[in-house]
Amino acid sequence: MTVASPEEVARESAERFVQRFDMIRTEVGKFIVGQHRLVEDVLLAIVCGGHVLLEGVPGLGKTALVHSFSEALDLKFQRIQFTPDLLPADIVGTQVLVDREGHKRLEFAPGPVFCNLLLADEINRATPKTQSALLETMQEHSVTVAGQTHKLGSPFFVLATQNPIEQDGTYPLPEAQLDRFFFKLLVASPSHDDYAEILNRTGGNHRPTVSPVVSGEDILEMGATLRETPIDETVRDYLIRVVRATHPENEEAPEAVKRFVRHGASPRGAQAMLAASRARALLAGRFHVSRDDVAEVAVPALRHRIILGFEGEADGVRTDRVIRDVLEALG
Amino acid sequence: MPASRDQIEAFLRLVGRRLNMRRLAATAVWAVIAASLVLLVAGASYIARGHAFDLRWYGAAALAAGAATLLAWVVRLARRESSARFADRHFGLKDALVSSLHFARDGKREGFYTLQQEQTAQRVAGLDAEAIDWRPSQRPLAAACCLAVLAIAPALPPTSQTVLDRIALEEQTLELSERSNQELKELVRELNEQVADPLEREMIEPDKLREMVESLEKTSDQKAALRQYARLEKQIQEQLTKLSQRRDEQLMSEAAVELAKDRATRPLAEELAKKKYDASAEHLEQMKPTKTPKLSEQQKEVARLEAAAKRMAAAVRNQRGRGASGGSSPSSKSGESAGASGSSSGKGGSADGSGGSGGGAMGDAIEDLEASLSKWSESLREASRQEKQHGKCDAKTAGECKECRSKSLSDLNSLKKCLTRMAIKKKACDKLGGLCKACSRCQGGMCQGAMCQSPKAGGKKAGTGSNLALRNERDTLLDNGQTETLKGVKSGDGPSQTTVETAEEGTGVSGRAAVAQRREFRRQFESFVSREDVPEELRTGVKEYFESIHIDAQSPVEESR
Repeated sequence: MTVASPEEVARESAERFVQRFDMIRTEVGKFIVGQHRLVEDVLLAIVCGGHVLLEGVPGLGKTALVHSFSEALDLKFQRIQFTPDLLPADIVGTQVLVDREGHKRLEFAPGPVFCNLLLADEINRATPKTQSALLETMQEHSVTVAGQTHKLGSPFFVLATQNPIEQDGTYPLPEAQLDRFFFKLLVASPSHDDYAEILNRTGGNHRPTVSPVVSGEDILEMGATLRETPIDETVRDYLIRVVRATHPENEEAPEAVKRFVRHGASPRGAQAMLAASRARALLAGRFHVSRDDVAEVAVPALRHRIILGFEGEADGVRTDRVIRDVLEALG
Repeated sequence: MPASRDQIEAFLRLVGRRLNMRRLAATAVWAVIAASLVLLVAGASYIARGHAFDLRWYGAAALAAGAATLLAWVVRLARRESSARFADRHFGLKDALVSSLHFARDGKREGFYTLQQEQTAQRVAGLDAEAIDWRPSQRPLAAACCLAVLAIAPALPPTSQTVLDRIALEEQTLELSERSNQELKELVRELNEQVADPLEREMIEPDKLREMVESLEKTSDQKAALRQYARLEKQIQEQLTKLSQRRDEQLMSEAAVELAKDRATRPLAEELAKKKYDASAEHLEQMKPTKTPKLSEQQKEVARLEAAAKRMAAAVRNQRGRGASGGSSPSSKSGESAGASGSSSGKGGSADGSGGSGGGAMGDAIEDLEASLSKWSESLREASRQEKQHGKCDAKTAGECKECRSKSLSDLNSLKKCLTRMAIKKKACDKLGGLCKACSRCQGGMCQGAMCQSPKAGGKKAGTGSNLALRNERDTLLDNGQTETLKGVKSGDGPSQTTVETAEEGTGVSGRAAVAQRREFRRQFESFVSREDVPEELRTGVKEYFESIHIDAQSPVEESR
């Protein structure tokens, strides 16, 4: 039995990463029409171990997308439809009194967060208290009830959706807590051809089915692979400069940042960018991260981490534009 | 691993070479642009000043551009990392080369790092470093070509005629000033050699003159040259003014007129008229009475001398009489002598011409001589009478005669000294005058040789350059020895300077301006007539002319009256 060299191991793991990624993408693509970039970004966040906030008007297929992922990934899936009357205990679980062979005792009844893939539908409809319970769970990967800590499954991903146009009776997510999402992705309207394809696929008696192609372990392995992907110090410096340039007090910050931004991105944003750019490099068939990879993931990773000032809000400035200005300024 | 490393290194070397060529070309282009701009600016400056462009600028610009290119190229010489960065950008390698370099430098090997190295080597293997275009960008190259062609343009226009004229003028001025300085130095040297008499040396001060002349500088600036000669001339003129003895000379010329009336004193008169004061002094010495025992002989000699003295004294009195009638101080002897002390001393302020009275020390000496001779003559007559009556004169009369003789001889000596002094002064004045003329000649030569040849010489056209304001200032009326002077009318008939004229009612035209103009005109012609450059024979005619035109044009005010 021959021992594989480190290069062979690395090559195989990189190839497996790409292969699995393509498999999931293809499988999800059986049901989801178009939205290639969206599917890719959601998948990137998943393999990087991050949570995703999907924002888009109703009916664009946000929930269907998450369903497709849950089917393609052989993971335990749960869905929570957030409503204003939803309580934290409803999602994390609670102590219930049960009768066990004549002995009554309190037992923990786990909530829907005890899964691998959680769809938090219309997260902005829940009260802040409930939102906080979920966001805490996302951060800690554990639930503490009645003094007892219960670990969540691994991997654990939250794919949350929110509707940006209907704000009545909603509780917008706190800006500081948005930082816990790896990516914030905007779901765009499908094109004409995509519409036609959607109707074809869903209008008949035979709806396409999505089968599981990878397991949770595979996802974890993919995460481990991308963390080994090398990044040069100059590229890393570039990444740091991009994040720092989103701060108005930074000297490299462009005029738009200095004028419209109140708070820039956090180090967690830099971590997200690093992980995502590594994944992009591997997907591009490279064994190193380039500046282009960093620039490519900057918008979804930073758009919800930049807090605009009053002037920016008043002028209707989009954070995407600000991030592009930063990238242009840094060349 | 080493193979891929070598492959990357080889590729980077090739890229570096191409990059350096590219940078050299670009630097050269920018150096040409900079040099051309400098040449254009310098050329414009030359052309604006009318000069032909100095062709050495081209050599200097080429050298500077070459040196700057080389220096900038050496400073910007591509290193491995910059080559890697350039190749990444140029071939779209997505930071592969830079990452590879850094991973190798940090000693990161195995696994993904080796794969990255191999992958990079594979990618560069398919690339051709020679494809990197080393030629500079089209726009800077075109700009450099255009500017280089334009930079030739300043060399085309020749030096303008104005500048050539100016240069020629400067050269000529320099040469003339050098020649004039030399000439003046030579003159002063000759003057120094000629002046032997200590008194004359004292008057001329040749050392001071030499210093002044040696301070002259050769210059190409015509104005500066003219200024320095004018300054020197002014200094000599001041010295001449100090030596001026016009009043004494005038007195002597009047005395000559008086002496010419007598046949015996006519030779002396001729010498005085010719201003031969040395000879006059000698003549007076010859006229000095001898110490003959015969009284009749003595009387004759004294009478001849007395006659001469009387005639000269008459001239003195005439002059003093004019001085008194001229409205100046009364003809007191002390006042005159005080006023004319300068002429006798030869130094210390203005000699004459400043005071109104005539005579001075010379006049005093003549009058003293006349008085002493008269007294001597009288005592001789008394001695002769006593000798005729008693056969001999008494001791008292003899003593008086002796005393008068010594007094007369002493006065005669004073007069001789005055004449000798005048002679020396005249010589000194002649020499200084010669030097003064030399200065004027230098100035004239400078103008004639330089300024007048200039095509753009200043000044108005002929006939238009007179300045009407020139005669506005009233001339100082100097007593210049002319007997005819204009006197004011004290009857109150003359036009008043302060008359307040009231305009009549109605719309008539006031004649005040015309009246004022006529007054001004009168003042002008009076001062003009009194000028010494109006010849005496024409003076009356000029006066009559002005008066006639003044009378013909009566003022409107007078007419209305």
